[in-house]
Amino acid sequence: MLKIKDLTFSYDKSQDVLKNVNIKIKKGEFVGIVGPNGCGKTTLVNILSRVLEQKKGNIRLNGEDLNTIPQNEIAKLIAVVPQESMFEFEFTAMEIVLMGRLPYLARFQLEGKRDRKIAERAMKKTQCWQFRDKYIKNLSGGEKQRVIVARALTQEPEYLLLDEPTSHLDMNFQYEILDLIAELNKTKGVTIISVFHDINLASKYCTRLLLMKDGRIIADGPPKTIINRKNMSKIYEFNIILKRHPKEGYKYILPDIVNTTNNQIIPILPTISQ
Amino acid sequence: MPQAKVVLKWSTTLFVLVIAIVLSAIVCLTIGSVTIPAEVVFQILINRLFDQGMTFEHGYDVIVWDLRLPGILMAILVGVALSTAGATMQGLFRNPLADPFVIGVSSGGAFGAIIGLIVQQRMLSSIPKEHVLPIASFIGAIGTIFLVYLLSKKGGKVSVTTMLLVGIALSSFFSAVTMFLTYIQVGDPRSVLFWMMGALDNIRWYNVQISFPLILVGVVILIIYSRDLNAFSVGENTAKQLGVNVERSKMILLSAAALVTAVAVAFTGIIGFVGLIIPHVMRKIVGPDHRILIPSSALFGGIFLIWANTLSLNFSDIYEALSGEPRLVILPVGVVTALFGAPFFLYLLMVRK
Repeated sequence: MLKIKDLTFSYDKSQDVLKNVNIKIKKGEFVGIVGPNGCGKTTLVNILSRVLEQKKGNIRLNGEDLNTIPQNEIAKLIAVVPQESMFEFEFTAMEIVLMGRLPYLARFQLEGKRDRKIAERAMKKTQCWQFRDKYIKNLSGGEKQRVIVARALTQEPEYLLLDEPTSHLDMNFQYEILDLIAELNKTKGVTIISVFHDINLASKYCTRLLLMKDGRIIADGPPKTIINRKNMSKIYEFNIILKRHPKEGYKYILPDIVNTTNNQIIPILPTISQ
Repeated sequence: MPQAKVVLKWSTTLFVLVIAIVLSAIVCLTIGSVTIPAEVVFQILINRLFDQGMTFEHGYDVIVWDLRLPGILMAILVGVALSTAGATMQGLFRNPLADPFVIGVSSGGAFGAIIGLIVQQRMLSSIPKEHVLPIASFIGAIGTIFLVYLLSKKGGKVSVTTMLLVGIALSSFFSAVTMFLTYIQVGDPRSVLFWMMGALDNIRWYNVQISFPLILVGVVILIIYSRDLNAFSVGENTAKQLGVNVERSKMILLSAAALVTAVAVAFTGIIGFVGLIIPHVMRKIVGPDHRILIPSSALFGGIFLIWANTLSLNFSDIYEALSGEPRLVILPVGVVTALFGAPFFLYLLMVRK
């Protein structure tokens, strides 16, 4: 159980990026966080993984205050898949995945048989076992992201935090990665908390959506109730077309920015007066 | 690779390097203005180590034990220090161009050296220059790192990018002051200039005795924290998410790297290129895992500098052999490291394509 109470955060004193956020996430949920750029989604994820320090408010992870849990204990509970990873040195895919065992190993302990087995299983699951000996920096974006997901799985976390994990990937990889994550959620009961850029992807996969705007949660619930005209008009500055997927039944939206009477594009943002 | 295979590969690498470093040291003990046979070198070492009471003709034992051996041991120590510090900085800054001097140790040390020599000239002329220079440059080097760290600290956190920039700014500032003082000829510009070129001649036993424990402590710390460096080298946030106590590790790694670098430059000045190139060479051979990269770079750095030093000290002979006329040519060791290191490195880059 992850309990966020009255969380307020600012990078500098002038403006709060998160304002009084309250969320309760139960084990086994697949939560999507959506909202316009700059609404505080990534900040929230960074606070949960303790990359940023939370000062105002209270976060409890399985009943314990997040701030008092040692960093390596957190790494056993929460794994993170960032948007994009950069690699400077020639680590192999396998070496990167094995780093997921870091929180479990003593300082001088080498990765043992069991650690390697866990890494192997994760890599087979994410279908990157076949390039385990290739250099991570030579892999394509999609392959890299699969390796990163494998590393996160190797941490054997209860919670998986993802920050727009597929925004740099083509559609094939997007669905592949998210199918995989959904499966982990179902079969292993891993709690998923993911930031989504694309509300349609979130709608397809999540069991619960958090809609954010200006550092606040403005709506919270299952996708089919959250995705409606009223909510969408709060986060998008244009009209939308709201539809249901003909086979799978989830809701999706399309932008509606062309004036159909004279085929003119309606400016989304007010034009600057000359 | 299974665990047993990794252990085997790593220990073989280290074993080969240890053998190589011992052999290099012995061979280089034989080389010099007089060539002393290897078996005599052996006898001298055993005699001195175990107090056998033997005597040697032509003062060979003084040459080997008191003149050559301290220089060779110091070469090893400095090679170890600069290579491990270089590997650490490259991992920490996630930048293959980083070296031990990247955040201003060298210019801070030079600044310290010239200020120290001015003070010595004006007020402390009873203390010899040779003692003031290492202390002053050590203080300058350590002080600079400390200043960089303090100036980069914001809200309890230190950003490595800020450190690089602060380092560059302080470096330029100290270099400017040093250049100005050198230009107007106060202090002892010549000594500072030599210091900036790096030199391993004139090393005595006491230099080795002071440097050894300090460099040993620093390198042991770097090896203990090498695991965290792996995480750092894939990104600081990732390191945190993998359970590393990032701010603490960073401070410890930086302090240890700063310590070994400052000790090395205090006695031998700025020997360039070693700290940049050795980690790269070893990375090509053993891979980027810092748990093996740090110790193997240490050993290879030692080997590299033993040979560079021998070449630097005996360049007159080489010059004579090549040109036919005897002439005293001094080639500073810092020049040798770059002169031979650069082509070697380029060769490595070319073959691995």
